[in-house]
Amino acid sequence: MCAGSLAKHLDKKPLQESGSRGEANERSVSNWLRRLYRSSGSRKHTVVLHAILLAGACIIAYPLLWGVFTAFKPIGEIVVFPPELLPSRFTLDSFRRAFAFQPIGLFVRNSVIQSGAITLGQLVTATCAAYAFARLEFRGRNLLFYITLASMMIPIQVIMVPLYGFVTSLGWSNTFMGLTVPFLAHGFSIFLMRQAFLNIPRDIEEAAVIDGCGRIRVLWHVLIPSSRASVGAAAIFTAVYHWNTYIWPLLITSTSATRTVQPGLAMFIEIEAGTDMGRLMAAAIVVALPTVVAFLMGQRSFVRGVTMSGIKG
Amino acid sequence: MRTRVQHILGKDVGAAAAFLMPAMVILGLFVFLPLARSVFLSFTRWNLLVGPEWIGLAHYRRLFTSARFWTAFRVTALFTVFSVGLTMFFGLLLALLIDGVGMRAGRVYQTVFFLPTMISLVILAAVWLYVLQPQIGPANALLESIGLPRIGWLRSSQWALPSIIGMNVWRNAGYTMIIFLAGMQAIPEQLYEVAKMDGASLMRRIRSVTIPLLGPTTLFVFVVSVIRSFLVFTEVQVLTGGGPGDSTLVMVYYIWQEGFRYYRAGSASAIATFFFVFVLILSIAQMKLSERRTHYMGVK
Repeated sequence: MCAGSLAKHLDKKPLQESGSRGEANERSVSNWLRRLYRSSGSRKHTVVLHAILLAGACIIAYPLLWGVFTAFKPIGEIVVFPPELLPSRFTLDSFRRAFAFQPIGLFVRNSVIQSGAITLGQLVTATCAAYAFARLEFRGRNLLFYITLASMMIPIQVIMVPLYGFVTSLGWSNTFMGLTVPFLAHGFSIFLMRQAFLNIPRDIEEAAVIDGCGRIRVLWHVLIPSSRASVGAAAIFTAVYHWNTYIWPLLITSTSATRTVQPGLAMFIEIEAGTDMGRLMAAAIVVALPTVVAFLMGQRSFVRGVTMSGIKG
Repeated sequence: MRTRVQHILGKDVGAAAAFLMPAMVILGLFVFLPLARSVFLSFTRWNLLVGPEWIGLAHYRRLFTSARFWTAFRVTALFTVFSVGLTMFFGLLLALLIDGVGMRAGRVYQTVFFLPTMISLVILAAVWLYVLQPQIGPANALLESIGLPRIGWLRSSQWALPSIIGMNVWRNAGYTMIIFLAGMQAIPEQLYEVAKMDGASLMRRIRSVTIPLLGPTTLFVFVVSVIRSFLVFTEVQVLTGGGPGDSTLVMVYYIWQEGFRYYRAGSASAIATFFFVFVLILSIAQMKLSERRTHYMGVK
């Protein structure tokens, strides 16, 4: 039976990962060689390089550190000039003021629903479409695939006016439908999943099909488990991207009930105009935290996504 | 037994239709349809409520003689030139430095440099709003401490655009660095070995091996960066609102204003359509380069 043969095959070895793992080993050996050959050999050089890099890292981190420490300062220390980087004592006052000022909890909840739904939806539409592109034979496959790729060339900035007109005409302003449905498919996730599926050898699926597995079962039991890395990369990429989107939620939501974190935070800025920077920075930290954590956990996925395409991010 | 339809359209056509349907419906309705509508609307007058009413090329004729349109064009071009140039310069510099100390030793730096790319523009705008705040901000404190006069930054028509460019370079240098680094990792080790045996110094190896072999990557980074700069919007909308005095009026903000502040959807669509032609040419270049680079690097 179908399930039995699958289990047998899946037991043998993880399908696609085996190849890339071997590659990874080779990579680290070559990296080791590279260090040996590339570094000029002199310790002095390396020290200089590290010193410059450290200075660069400080410049990049400097504004962020100001933001973080300001959020923890007592209110009296925020408005003095010249400002001090470090607070004299750490306090959560600014966070309290921020939460009292705007329903940040609600914004966060809305963003979780919004980016969660989009991510889930994109994974479903992308795996299905990718399966068709990678495995099925039909006329017009290349044409449709090019159309999918072409969709990535059309940024929201260019189509926001008619898109807004269309979505509001559906009665979707201030709804989660309006926030999520237009983004339930994206060329990038389809492209990513197609690449993953193409890397999986066909023989296992063929065995499964002979054993009577339908296409959906093959997709679910063979292809998706074998491309876990790509599914993960697509998921984390999409989730962070939509957590960070500003333009569309700003357009389509005008009440707190469905407003997401980015336009919510922008409201702090507009209303503040520089009055309570502590409160603004506290809110910014709350909004930034999930993406920073996701980035630190899935750094490799992000790097891969960026180098593959240069889009998003 | 195959049916006639299957014979013409391929054996899996039924399944393919089912599997592709959800993605294609979404892309069709929410990407391609709005694009087509944007082109159509550019020939009409529409206030998002009543209309649209066909007026032919009137928007285009008016745009090309409108001073504001050319202001937006100039600001976007200035932003792109400086932002792309500086981002690429610093990105390449950081990548060379990290490559110099080795990928493993450079990992921490890589994380720090890439971090701003992962944080949303609204958050970064909030941070920079504070840093550049004229009265209490650290930037002016720094200037005063070294004996320079304070600057109005985002509130000065002279400094607002450079401030936005600076923030952009600060954020995106890490992003271009990542792409450059990936390109550097693909350069064959033997070339460095040979260069080293010939007694080439570190600088010499960078100049004669790394830089020339980074050609395709550099071109790719260039096109990607230009597209990203063209589309700049959030930091402008949040920080300056195109001002002071239109000094930061970038193209997308101009579209936004026409469409959603003045409710001139037709005129906004005309700008968007004109603008899209540029983006499209660059995107096609990006796609081609991306393909070539993939072959070149031997990665998938």
